[in-house]
Amino acid sequence: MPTSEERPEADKKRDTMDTATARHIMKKTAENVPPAHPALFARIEESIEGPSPVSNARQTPSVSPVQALLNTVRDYLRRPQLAWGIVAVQAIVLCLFIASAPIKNTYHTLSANRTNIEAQAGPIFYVIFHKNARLREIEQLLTRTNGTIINGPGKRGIYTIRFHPTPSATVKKLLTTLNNSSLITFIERAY
Amino acid sequence: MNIGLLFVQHCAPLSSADIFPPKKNEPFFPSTAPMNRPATLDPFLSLLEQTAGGDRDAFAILYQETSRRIKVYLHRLVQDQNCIDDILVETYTQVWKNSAAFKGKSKVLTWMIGIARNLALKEIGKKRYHEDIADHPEIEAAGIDFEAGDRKEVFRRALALLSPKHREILDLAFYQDLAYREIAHILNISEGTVKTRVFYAKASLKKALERMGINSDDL
Repeated sequence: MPTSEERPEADKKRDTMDTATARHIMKKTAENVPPAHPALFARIEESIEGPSPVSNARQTPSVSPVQALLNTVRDYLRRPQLAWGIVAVQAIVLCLFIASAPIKNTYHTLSANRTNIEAQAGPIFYVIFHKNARLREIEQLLTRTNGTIINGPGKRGIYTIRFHPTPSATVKKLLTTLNNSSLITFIERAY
Repeated sequence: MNIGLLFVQHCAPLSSADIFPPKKNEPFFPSTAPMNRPATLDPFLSLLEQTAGGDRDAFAILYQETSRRIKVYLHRLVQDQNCIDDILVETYTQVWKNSAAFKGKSKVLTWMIGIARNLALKEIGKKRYHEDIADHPEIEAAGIDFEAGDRKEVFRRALALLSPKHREILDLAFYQDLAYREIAHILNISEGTVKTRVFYAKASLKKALERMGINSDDL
């Protein structure tokens, strides 16, 4: 079945009526409507008693002085030129503040000073202690060499020990000292 | 002010042709489609401007010149005489109060019909506005002698079967003689929708007449 759009124009016209007939019907039926009663205008006149439309449009309701002041300020601030002026002043103040603010390292991220931390940390060694070494003896050795266990023991008994920062020449001495210790069976520098 | 003089009612509504009669050799378009009608000056603008200045006589004349058309429009939409009078009073009260705020974006009559429409829609509600002929299966053609001059009654009953939406568009297009652009402005729809709605309103009217045993082609 064809849709209303697909139907021929003649078919569509058959479904509706011509404009002249519609106009005739609307004019004829309008004659049945009784005219507005004169009393209606009297009612309208009653309802429009008071100030004229002009004064209605310009009149403002009575408000308190504070409200009036707020209204004045609000109206003043609503002026577009002023609004743009305020925006411009804010932009200038912001630029001046940024330009004149001292640049300080008031904070730093965890990764920011990584190099410094490592530099301060000193050399790190992987160490395996002798199986008969006692805890007190190990503690004495670490105290003497300023070492700190930072990891371990691993599965094979490997400890990671960090020593305080020392010049490179002293690292060799430190390594010799640790190699000669009877408490240590294995030592290797970690890079 | 002599109120009596102001209430001389027109038997037929004013149209632009009544106010600006066509000159010699100028084509007269009483039956052309609304969209083809040439633009004319607004006959009520001066009266509204004077009303805005607080001129009550001008307002009374504006009422005299337009109330008939507004009332017919409301009659199509509402069909309740008591409501119509109340809406008419409220419409002209609003016209008086807002006359200074009229910006001339439409013709004065279009603006006034828009005010009347808003008030009328509040009264009838959306549901009734969209009721259609299908909601009225009973047709009361009995007792009417079409040939004996009861044509108006037949037309009235046929129109009463239409939805207010369709009666409204038929009134605006074929009684108020407004251009499609003006109708679109009042109804807040596109001109294309106005054309479509006019088409279906005419089809509904034809259908209503046929149900009453009258072929509109014979009118």
